[in-house]
Amino acid sequence: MLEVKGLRKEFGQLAAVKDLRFILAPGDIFGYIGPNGAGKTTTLRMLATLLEPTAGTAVINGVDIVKQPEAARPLIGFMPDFFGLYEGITVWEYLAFFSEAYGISRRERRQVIENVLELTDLTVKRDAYVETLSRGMQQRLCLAKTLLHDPLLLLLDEPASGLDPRARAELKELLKEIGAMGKIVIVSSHILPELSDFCNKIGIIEKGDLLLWGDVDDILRQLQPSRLLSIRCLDGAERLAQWLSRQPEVASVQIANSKVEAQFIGDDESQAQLLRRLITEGFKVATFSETTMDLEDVFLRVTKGEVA
Amino acid sequence: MVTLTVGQRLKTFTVKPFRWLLNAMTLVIGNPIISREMKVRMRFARAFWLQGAYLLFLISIVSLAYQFIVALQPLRHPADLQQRLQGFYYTLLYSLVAIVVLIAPALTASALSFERERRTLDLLLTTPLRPMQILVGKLLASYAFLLLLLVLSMPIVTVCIIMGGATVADLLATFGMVAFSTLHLCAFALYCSACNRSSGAATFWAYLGVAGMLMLTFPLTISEIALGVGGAIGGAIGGPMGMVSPQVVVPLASLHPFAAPVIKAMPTELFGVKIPCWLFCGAFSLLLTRFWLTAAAARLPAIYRGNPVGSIRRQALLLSVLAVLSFDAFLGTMPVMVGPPAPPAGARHDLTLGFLMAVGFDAAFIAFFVPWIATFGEHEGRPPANDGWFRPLRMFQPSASGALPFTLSWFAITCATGIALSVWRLKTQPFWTELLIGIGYSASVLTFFWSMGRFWSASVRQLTLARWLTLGTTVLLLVLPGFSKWSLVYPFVKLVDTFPPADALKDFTQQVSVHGSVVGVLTLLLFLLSHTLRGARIRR
Repeated sequence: MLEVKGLRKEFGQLAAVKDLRFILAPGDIFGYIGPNGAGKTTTLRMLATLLEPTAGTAVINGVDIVKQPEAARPLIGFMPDFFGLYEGITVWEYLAFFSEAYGISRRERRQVIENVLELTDLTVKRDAYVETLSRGMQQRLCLAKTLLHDPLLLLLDEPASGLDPRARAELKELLKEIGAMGKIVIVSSHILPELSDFCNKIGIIEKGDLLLWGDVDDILRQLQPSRLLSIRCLDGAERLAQWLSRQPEVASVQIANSKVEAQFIGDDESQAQLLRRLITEGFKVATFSETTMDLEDVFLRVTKGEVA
Repeated sequence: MVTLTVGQRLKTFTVKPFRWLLNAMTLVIGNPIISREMKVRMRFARAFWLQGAYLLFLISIVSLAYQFIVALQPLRHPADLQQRLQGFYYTLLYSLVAIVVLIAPALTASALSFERERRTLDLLLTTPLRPMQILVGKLLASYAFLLLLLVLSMPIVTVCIIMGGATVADLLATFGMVAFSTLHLCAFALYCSACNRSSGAATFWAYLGVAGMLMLTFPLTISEIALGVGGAIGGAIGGPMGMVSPQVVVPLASLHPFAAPVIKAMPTELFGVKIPCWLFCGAFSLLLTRFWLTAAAARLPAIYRGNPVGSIRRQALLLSVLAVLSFDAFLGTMPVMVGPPAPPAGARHDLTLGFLMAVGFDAAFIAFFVPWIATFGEHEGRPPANDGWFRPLRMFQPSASGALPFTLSWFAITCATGIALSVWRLKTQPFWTELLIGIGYSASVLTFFWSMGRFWSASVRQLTLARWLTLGTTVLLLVLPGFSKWSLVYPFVKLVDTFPPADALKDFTQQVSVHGSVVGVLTLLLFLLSHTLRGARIRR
């Protein structure tokens, strides 16, 4: 369990992060969204015990990160947005170095390294020098390093930045797998499509303020009280629009490119009844679909485009 | 009241020191940083090229030194050969020391800053490694390379043994002392690396600092070299210089690597006990190394519990007291000034004069640390913490209110130690009134510098800027007036300029009354001004 309690960071007059509060349970994958300069990296660096908060704290499984940073570190795996790799050593030596630093015993070390190499699909590269790896592989190696000590909380700062589409897709699959392992994962990003697939919780930060956080579905429901139905009939949009505007569950209607878009206030049951009534009325319905909001729409609706 | 059981008492006396030893051992044994750094350092051809270049340079020095010192000139006297071989030995060893001193700071100055530049430091700091493990790992990995260079040069330096200029024991003792005396220089360079973001800046400050430290111990070293070389050569040719006792009278000189070839085998006498100089050098160098490592640990950009500032201050006190006590070796060589029925007034005047100069030097030395002690401000996201102006119980805490009590205590303890030691050793009392006036004036100057630190802290928000401004104004007020009447050190200048010593003391007390009043008024003004400025900022 991770509980963030009023985390705040000030740099001089500037409040980079203002009184953050949220709770995450094991298995949660938290998409931390915000424009550049919103305070995402500052938050992650505070949670990673690299930056002392001006006020507040966070508690991981009962361990306070400010009061007991040494005890908190073994519970945390941090992958920064920009990171370097030690040159002149092989992938295996790199992981062996960090496993030693994390206090993994010599007996377990070999097995642990083999496991993370397999998970990150780097087994074939175990004897390659780290500087010879591609950007995507280096990203996976850093993730492997982050997973070595089996941390409860994973902090991934912009993990997909600078990756090509294939490497991005691979990373997405890997993160899904890690999420399924029951860890708390916080992934910060400003590229929203990459988060939408695997995050079950999101938080939107702007100018240091956490504007909203919670379950992705709950947030979508909260932000989209009405459904947008898109209907195309073969007998003309005009007649359909007129009929729809007379229905009690429809708030507004508009015609766009031979389709009729209706703001529908009702649940799934009444949506199904509307479709049945359309067919009973004799409309030749070609398409009937609900347009749902995605994370990008949520982000654009909630934020104002300001930076701290 | 809690009563300890016998077992608990035993644990206090046995397990705790043992735990300390275990902790110290874990810093080295199984430290992953040492093995990784050494592996990377020795894996590629660059390391071998460097070692090759180093050996080539040494070989060319040996050839040139042999040609110019031993082979070219004809021999006039059998003792002449001995003298030349000694010259050859010193030339070779001083060249070696020069190279080692040049390489040592460069090896560690980029150890942490390079990690910053390469963006690997964050990954390291989020591991459960303790700050000291990281720093000791970095230090030892670089230092091991330096030791390797020393070992590599041994076959070349043995030329001196073959030719008869030195013995095996001489060489081993020299190498040991060079190794010890460069350890704390490496640690200082590592501190610079922890303080600077770029390797260039870290290397620059490391070299500047090392040069400063070498300059500081240079006067002590040169006197020891003069005595040592003179004694050795004089002894060899049977001349009067051979009468000079080959004993290290200022053990602090051993911290200077260039002193090693001369004083390596000499003993030093502290409190009647003869100890080899390399032992003092090793012990003091280790303590200094620990001091710089603690200072570097305080600069690591991650959250760590503990109180490094308190530890730094306690270590500074310990080092200062030990440094003062080491002057016992010098005092032991001086004649006891007991005259019948009491010491003559002249001796008391001379002693008081000496004490006042030492007090002035002590205050000037501490004054250069005041910018780091007295200032407070925002640093790396940490807000300024001004918790008052004088709280003695907080002098070992990172608080603004403990700065003045610590500064004054540091000064008082070092003064008291030095004076008590000298009075006990020389069995002579100084003129206490004049001495106390001098101590009071020096303390008021330190208080003035402290108030300047507070003034700059209140005027600018950034801690680093406040520190530099305080240091700048300190240097300006101490040095720039060219020791004129406007300088704060003017009363001490009068002390040296005036003769006889009785008149010098009289002039000193007169000057102190004038300068002391000005310093007092300025201190009060600066203190009030900083208070007003801080109040204005809070209102803003």
